[in-house]
Amino acid sequence: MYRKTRLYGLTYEFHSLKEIMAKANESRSGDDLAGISAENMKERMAAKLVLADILLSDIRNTPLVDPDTDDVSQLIENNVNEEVYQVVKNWTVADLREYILSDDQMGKDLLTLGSGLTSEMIAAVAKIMSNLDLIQAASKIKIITHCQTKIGQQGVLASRAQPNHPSDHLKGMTASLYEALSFGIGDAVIGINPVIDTTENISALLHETKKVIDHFQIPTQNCVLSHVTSQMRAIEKGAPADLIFQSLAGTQAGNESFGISLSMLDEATAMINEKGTATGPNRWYFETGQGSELSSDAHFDIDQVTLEARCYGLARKFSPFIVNTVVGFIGPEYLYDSKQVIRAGLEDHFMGKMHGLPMGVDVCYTNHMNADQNDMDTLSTLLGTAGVNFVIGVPMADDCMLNYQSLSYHDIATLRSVLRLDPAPEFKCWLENIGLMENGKLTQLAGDPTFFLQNV
Amino acid sequence: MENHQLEGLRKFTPARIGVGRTGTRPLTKDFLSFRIDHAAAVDAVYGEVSSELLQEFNLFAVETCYGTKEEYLKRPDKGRVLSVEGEQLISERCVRNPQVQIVISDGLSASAINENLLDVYPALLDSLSLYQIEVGTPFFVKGGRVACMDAIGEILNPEAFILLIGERPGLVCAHSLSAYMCYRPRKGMKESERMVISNIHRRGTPPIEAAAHIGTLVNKMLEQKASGVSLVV
Amino acid sequence: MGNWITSIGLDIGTSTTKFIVSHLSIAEQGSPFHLPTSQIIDRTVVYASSIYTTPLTSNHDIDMESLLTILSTEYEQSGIHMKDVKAGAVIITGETARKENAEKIINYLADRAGDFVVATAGADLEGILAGKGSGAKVRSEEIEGIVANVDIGGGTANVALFEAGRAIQTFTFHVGGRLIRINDQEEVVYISEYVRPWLEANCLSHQTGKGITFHELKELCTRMNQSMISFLSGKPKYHADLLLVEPIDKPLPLIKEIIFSGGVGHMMAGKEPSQINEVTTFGDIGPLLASTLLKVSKLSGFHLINAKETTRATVIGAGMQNTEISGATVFVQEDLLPIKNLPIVRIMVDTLEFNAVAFTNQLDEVIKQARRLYEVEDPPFALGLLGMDYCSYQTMKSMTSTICQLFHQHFPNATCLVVICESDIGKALGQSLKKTSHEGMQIICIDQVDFLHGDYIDLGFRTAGEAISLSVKTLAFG
Repeated sequence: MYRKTRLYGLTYEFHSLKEIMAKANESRSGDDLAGISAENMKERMAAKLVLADILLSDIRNTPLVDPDTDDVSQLIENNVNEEVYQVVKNWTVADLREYILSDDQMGKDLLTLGSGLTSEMIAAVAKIMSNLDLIQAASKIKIITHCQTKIGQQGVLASRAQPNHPSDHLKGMTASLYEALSFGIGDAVIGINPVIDTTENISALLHETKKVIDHFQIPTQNCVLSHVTSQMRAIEKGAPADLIFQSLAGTQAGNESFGISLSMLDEATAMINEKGTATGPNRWYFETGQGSELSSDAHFDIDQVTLEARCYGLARKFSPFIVNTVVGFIGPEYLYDSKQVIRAGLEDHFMGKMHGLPMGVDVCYTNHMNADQNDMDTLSTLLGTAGVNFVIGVPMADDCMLNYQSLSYHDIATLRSVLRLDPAPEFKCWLENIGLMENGKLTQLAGDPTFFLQNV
Repeated sequence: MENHQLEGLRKFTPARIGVGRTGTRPLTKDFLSFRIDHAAAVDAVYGEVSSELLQEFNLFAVETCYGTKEEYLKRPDKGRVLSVEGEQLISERCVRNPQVQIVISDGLSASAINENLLDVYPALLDSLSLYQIEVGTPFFVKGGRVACMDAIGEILNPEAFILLIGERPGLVCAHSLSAYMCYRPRKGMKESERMVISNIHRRGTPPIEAAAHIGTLVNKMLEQKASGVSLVV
Repeated sequence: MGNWITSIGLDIGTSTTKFIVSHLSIAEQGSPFHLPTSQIIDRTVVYASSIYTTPLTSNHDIDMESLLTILSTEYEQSGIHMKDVKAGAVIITGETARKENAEKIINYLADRAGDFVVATAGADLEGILAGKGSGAKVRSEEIEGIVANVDIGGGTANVALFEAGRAIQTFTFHVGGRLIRINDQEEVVYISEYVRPWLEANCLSHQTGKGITFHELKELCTRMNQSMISFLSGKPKYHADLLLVEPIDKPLPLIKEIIFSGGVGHMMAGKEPSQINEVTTFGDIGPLLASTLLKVSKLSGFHLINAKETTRATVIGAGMQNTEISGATVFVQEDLLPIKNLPIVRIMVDTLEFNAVAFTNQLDEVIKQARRLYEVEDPPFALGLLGMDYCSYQTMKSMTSTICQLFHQHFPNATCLVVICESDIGKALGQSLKKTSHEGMQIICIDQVDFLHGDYIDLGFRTAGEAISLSVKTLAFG
């Protein structure tokens, strides 16, 4: 695909859709590292200008990775709702933006639209949207999913309790979990990143979280975020798992570097449906994050926004309960500072929602990024207004195992209070019954982990 | 009574639990102590290794192609390549084909070197000498990444390599050191051939004990002529 | 993974004898990012004997013939092969723990119990083992504060205080079920001489051969328990010091929870006697001591925790808990192992504010003392370094040169130096000692050993990676 345009007396030429897509991105260090970003602001704007005029059918007909050699491309291509696509194929990307933002289109219209789009089309439109565009569009879309409980309703901000421990100490994990629950956190999932990837250890963590859930009759779901094959071994041996987890990449090569394949995901789906402990139909928890394909040299010179969208194209086939973009975890070589992290968080959330996915965001940063907790306050508030399905909480924002900072349990309680949002309905009801919440507000008893010791 | 229970819970985890709240927000001292720990972590990333410390151990310094700190953070690839001057200095001053080459680098935490080198380095030299292993000419690499060991390996051709490098700082500890080791470092070597002992600092893996263990591991590498997953320990 | 050793426990007490066989499973965790660690991850009882009355020929002498019959029957029933037994302990307690009794038993076991059974005795260690068996040790790891295990048998109540999984203090009371015995004519037939001073001080004296009422017995037991409990709460009443076997060697810390084990601990859960004939059927004050103890301790303000094991606490502790594993990065010359009955010479080291002169003087003093106490063998002792939270390179160098110099000065002919320490620096210290010591000196330096309570150590073989098995004990036989 060859396009050119003139801007301020200069001609800008682009030789491929890949080049246009990359250069149209808002600035980020990962695209610089890959050597595919625009040289300057004007070239970036020229690329956006050109992209806005490209037809959706052109995007579909110009695959960035050949579906014959990449199963993610193939899956995205095969899952396009042709009926919808026929209606929109002659739209430009600009038309698509305006349709999405129009007052006439409700969330369900956007979900229908999304089913007829490829991931590349959704990535393309994100590139010509402002931050507030991304918020406005995403806020219309509500996606309710059902594992043990349901989340995603209007007016609900759910949360993952992430009670990690540097040596997977069960009591340490439980102590941290009590802290989360006492702030009303943990309605999306109680999810642990283990240090030790053995079957015994994963089983022990699944049993322990399930024990707490059963003992206090908490309406939520458990998950241990190790490699899918290790979880399968534990589940096979009878460990109680509501959800099964895996990190995804946007190319087949990227997934291979994660040690997974589509058939492995199918196998895991069958197992969690048969042996999982949940009752609802949505049993997957996926995580993604811009930059992972480049880090495993599986990016094929495609920009990281487009690759991220392709992760969502892959994820939607498996009807997950939750999808989470770990936006600030990967490091400054992919997202350098808070400006880039905030942008990426909003893009990922919007793109995921357009794919019909129950999107959550790990609002986070590492210590070698140019960001601090104030930036997380900003991004979490923006995502709260955009209707994010869930966010992640750790004690005082400090994850003592993964060594990065996310949101504090306090922060999630604050977002709910400021934005007038509630925990998931069943979880809220539970909080009220045990006395931690009253009329949608935390009671005097809340915020104290020893509350759960009185009831052990 | 309640405080006692809280202490009981806190005992099991370094996580910041039981901090309480005012409204939905944390109390001032907890909030500030969190920000202080973050400040220490950021300063560790942007800090410098003490030149007196390098002089004390007679370590000369070379740089990678990182240029600036910002570039170092954005371009890990540049921290894997030595500057032309650096390559030249190494060629001029270092013994070739040593049994073991030791290199020290700031990596992502200069304070990891400042805090731990005084213990780790001499204990490591003792340990290697006990195994009668000959050490080449050690030096310091500013702006290094782990894989700079491959580039150095190409120039000096050591049998085994030890890189002491500052880790990405966390809030629990901003000056944690890692020791990466491998047999026959060279360009294009697999990550699975590298070995690492991490979390070396005074409240983590004790620095002198880590050094003693590194000596044992390197001795095994030389005996078995292998490192990483294929080494039998 | 999958590495385990068989351990036996034998408890020959004043009134009862018990035997257990257990499996200790040892795991080496070799994470690619950390120093390797080894630990005992599981301790399981695979066989437990019934509880026998210790066969005696007189009040004190063990009927060896009968005891040997019991043991051989039990060995056979348990189905273990003696060559597989790698660890364990024989506890001989109370009035049976006389040297000639102990030696007879040890001689018998020497042929039958495998090479690594530790013979041991003494109320301090017995109290600690009971606390390990009853669950007090584990409980102290779970809570903030001190847990006291009070193991009450026939003759004594052995108290062990645990904090964060470590025994920090032990002492013993003359409180037990068989100190006073009554016959079915409701007459006192025996009063141990150990409790007479306390009885007199409390105006509770009785004479043997004279009758005693239920009320009088109950009052006596209540007062005895009140006295003991008042001592534990730091405000001794009713001449509690007269109940102590020996005065305590340091002030008593604040105790938070108490666990009662032993035969009397077991009876606390039983029916409360309400008249004299319910007491006399046992022939001693055991049941009444137990039921009054329950009442007294409930009023004491201590938090009471149920024991995981009562009557068998000591034998379970002995069989399952006496063997430990050293740290996994240590300095060991394998051909020197095993080494048994090595006296421990302790010295406290302040590595944070290290003072070389003070260390030299202190070490010189303890080595001289050791030379007076023990026969000189090679190695003469294990130097136990307590403390050392964090040790810098400089401090380590200074320590090792002092150790090597003084050791050579006092034991010019010794060829082996053994050092044990609590914190994880054994390998560094061992390498440094090797470098500093005289040519040919053999060094064993192991870490992560809890030797605060114990006078001797047995060093076993390698069990997982570099780690070796070991037992710390209070008495050495043979």
